[in-house]
Amino acid sequence: MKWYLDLMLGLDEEGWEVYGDPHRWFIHCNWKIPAENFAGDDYHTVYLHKSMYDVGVIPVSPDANMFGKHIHAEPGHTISFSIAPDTEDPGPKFWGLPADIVDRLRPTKITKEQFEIARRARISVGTIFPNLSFLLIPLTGDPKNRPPATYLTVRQWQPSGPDRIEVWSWILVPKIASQEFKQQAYMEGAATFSTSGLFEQDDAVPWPAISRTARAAFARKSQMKLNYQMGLEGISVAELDKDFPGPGVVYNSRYEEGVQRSFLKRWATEIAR
Amino acid sequence: MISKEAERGVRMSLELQVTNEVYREVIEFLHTEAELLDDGKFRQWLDLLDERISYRVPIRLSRERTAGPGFSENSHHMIEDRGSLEVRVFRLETEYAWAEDPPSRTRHFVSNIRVEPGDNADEIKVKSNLFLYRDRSDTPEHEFISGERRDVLARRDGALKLRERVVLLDQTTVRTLNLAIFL
Repeated sequence: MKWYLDLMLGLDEEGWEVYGDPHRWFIHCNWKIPAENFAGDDYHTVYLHKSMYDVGVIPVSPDANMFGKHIHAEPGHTISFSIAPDTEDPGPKFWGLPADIVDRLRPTKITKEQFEIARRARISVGTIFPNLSFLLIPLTGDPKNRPPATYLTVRQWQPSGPDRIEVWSWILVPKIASQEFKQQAYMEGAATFSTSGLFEQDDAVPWPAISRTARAAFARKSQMKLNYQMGLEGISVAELDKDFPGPGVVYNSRYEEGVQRSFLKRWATEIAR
Repeated sequence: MISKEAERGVRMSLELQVTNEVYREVIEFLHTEAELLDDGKFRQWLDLLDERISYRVPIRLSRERTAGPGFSENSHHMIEDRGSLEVRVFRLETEYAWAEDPPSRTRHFVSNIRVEPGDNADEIKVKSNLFLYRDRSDTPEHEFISGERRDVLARRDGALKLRERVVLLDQTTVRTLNLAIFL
């Protein structure tokens, strides 16, 4: 997993810094639901978050966004990349960082190979087992008047009782960015992934509902199972990518659920110890 | 020749001196606003906002008294202007805004209204207490949000508009699943 964290955090010698104080709020859900969501449930974005595409908050089209990699870096540690097919692609490069920052990047801590992947990266999201997740993304809370700005959100899904979590969510910005860019990136972070975040407000509805439904009498009696088969042999369009330079098991296309299975397998292993 | 101060005084008396009449107008403004929000008439709510509105909900911190007022200086649950508030409203009107579909039942209780002259002649400062009840779905839980509103209302073409709102929450950790609602 370190290889991938370095790829993002070591993009520049100076790295990233936390902006301000964390967003903190309670959600009545099991902690594994958001952890698994960030582990790489990209399938939900095109339906649950469809309004984000409708109002233009996200600068990558739904189809283009599903192109990319699912990476089972280590058991339970996974990352999902929305990545352009080649460097000629007109979409965001380096997660949408503006040209004046890209020009000043000094990637002394990562290899050329890592840097070239970063060049094609549009969005990356992942979970470090058990309950620390991250998302690196360019978004805007006001598409007509503000261009998308890139920020990194790191969040802790802290269990605080049965089916209740406290979310601790930090927003990070590139250290070498101007104060003006840092402020805007924070503003877009607060507008999209936070207590009030346009993206995140929609997530906070199914998470409690999934937690409730999964433990309901009907689910128990009918031995209800969730279909987690995407990416298994012969199921879905996902294919193993054996040429990817990074470590771990890598799949092409983000229509794949092995990342969630990796998270839950690790949990099952830990809980059985 | 009239001094600037005197001129300002004359303008104030013509515009937004805090008279009983203005106080009554403010109460009506806040009650109308609460009704629009609770009835889900967000487009009409936007009509109450000034073009240059600043709308902020700073993050409250639990710190010792000597550390200051207890609010983050640069971090917010919401930091909005006219454009971004419109995006929030327009999004709620799409078919896929699951955060509020089915919608919450909200009840804005606005009380302890205090009015004083603003920094500009056509503005007044209004403080009020906000108690917000929120009920969602068919689950047994309900949620409360409590805080103080610090508003600036401005006279535009005869009508009052919301020029600035700062909501000072009483909660450090927000006890609702999201702020997909307006405070």
